[in-house]
Amino acid sequence: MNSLGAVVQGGFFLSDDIEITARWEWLNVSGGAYSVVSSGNTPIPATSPNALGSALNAQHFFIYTVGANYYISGNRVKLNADVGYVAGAIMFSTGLFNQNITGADYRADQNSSATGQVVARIQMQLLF
Amino acid sequence: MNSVSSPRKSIVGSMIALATVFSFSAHAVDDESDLLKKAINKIEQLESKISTMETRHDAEIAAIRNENGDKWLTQQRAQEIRELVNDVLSDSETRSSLQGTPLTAGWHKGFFIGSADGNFKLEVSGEIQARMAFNNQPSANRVPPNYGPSSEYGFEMRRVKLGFDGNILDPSWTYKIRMAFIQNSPVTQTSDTFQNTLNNFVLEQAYIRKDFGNGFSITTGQWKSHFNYEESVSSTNQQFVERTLLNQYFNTKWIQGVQLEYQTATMRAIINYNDGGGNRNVGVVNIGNDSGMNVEWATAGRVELKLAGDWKHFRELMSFRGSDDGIQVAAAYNWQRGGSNNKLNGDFVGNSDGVNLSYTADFNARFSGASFFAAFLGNTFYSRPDGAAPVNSYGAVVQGGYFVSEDVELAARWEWLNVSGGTTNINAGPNPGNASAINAQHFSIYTVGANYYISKNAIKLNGDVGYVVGGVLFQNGLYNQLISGADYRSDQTSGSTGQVVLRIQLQLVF
Repeated sequence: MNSLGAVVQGGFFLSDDIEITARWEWLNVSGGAYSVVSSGNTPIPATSPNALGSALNAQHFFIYTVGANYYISGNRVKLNADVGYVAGAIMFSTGLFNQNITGADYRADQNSSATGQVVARIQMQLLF
Repeated sequence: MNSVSSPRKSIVGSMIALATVFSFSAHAVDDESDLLKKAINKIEQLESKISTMETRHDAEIAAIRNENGDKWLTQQRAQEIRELVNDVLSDSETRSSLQGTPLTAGWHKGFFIGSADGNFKLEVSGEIQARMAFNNQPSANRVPPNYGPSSEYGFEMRRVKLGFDGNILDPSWTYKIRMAFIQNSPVTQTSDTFQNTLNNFVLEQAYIRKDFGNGFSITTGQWKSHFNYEESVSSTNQQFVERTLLNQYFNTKWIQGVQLEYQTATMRAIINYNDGGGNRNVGVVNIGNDSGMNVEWATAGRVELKLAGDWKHFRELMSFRGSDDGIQVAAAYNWQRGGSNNKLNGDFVGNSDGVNLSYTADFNARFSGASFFAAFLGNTFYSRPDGAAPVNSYGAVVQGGYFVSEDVELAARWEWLNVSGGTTNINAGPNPGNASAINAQHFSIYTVGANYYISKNAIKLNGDVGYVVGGVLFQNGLYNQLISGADYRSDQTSGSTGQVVLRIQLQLVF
């Protein structure tokens, strides 16, 4: 099974402390078992509340994200906001090495023709 | 710097002048007599002058010594050493990767380190509550098969917490992180559970606050909701070993969200949007696609009016002798809709499908050596699925304390809860502990206590005993707060009465 991905992103400061950013990411998993959801050796229907999308599911999607950052004091105190749009279906909920996509506030889609998931995030950060 | 001119220079000059005089006398024999007289006069003048100077300088030196003792010379040297050290430190700062302003550290109601200008500060604090508790539940209050013993007792570490807070950039940017070990309780232990496996360290509070000046500030993160007064007062500043059972029923505990605050000299108001009472350390997106949200929306607010005294008077429930008088009145609400997918959960009514509107009003008075607190609380659980009838809950608490000496206080409390309209499901089956907060019930609890303040709230010994008239038919409050934290147990029959709880606790705060 082969999994391929790419990411391109950039940022531009409009002023000393305000930055706008854009990101494009792509994932393609081919050759995997086309089991929309599975857990261990027992396939679980996509409609099950315990559905867990496998990282080996064949899938293909892009995510376009734009953001704006207000650096109140560099990275020490900053306010971030972004919006992401998924073209395609996210068919995994944990990565190859067991990292949950919930940490990024995304959810696994439950059918291979899914598209259009949107995530908006705003965050305040403080370091000491 | 002190300085003293030496008379030695004057003496040498005078000797040179004298030698000159003698030289002239060798070449002018005729005038020898006159010259000799002049020389003698000159010598006498010089001797007089030297004597005067010596007297004056001796007096100056004596005055300096009287003023500075033996340090008058070492001060000069100390100053030189200090300047040298400062030069070395200044040089080292330019060569070190550690950047910053001079550091200060010490203890002021807690240990702290910070920059000398006050713009950066970190305080470390902790709390230990070591408790012995005894619970007696009459046999008539319990139903087989989970009959259990009438009496349960033992020791517990009720609260063990560590906290960090301070400010960054300037005093207007503040933060707080507070963590606690999961609380053990002898009344929740089961025969097949080892308590030590539950000792996880969990996050209680973590927030960022910005003070915008003119009384306005914004807080975001996770913190204890300022809904009811009793819960808002720190566990370290309570007048009894534990808060009321009523508090466990109504309080909204931890919330995540964003809050706007406004404060003047006599009024304080907050309003927030949050993830629902009792929901802490929760993510937005859960694993499992149809798990749904804990709550669909939630908001809380509180207004306090200070009629007398300082705000700090109301951060603790007792009033030590010598304290100023203080009076405060307040009202608050918490309003939230549980997740539409969340079936009624006896453990967590606040997150269940439906709307909970909680409200409270409280009154506080403080005097020198005496205190009084009273509150009324209510909740309506409505807009339930399938047209189920609303459930109304009402409660009240009145308590007061009086210092019989500088460090010994006696306290008494009455609390009352009435839940009507709910299902009378006392869960007498195999899981009798899952008594729901919407069970119809009615009880009063009378508590008396004594407190020995060894060092006010920093080190104190509390003792109290509570007696229940009626049946306690819930185990988790509306927002999932366990009554076991107060060392009570849920009764299992609607005719229950007579549960007794006795507690003794030593507290240390640093």
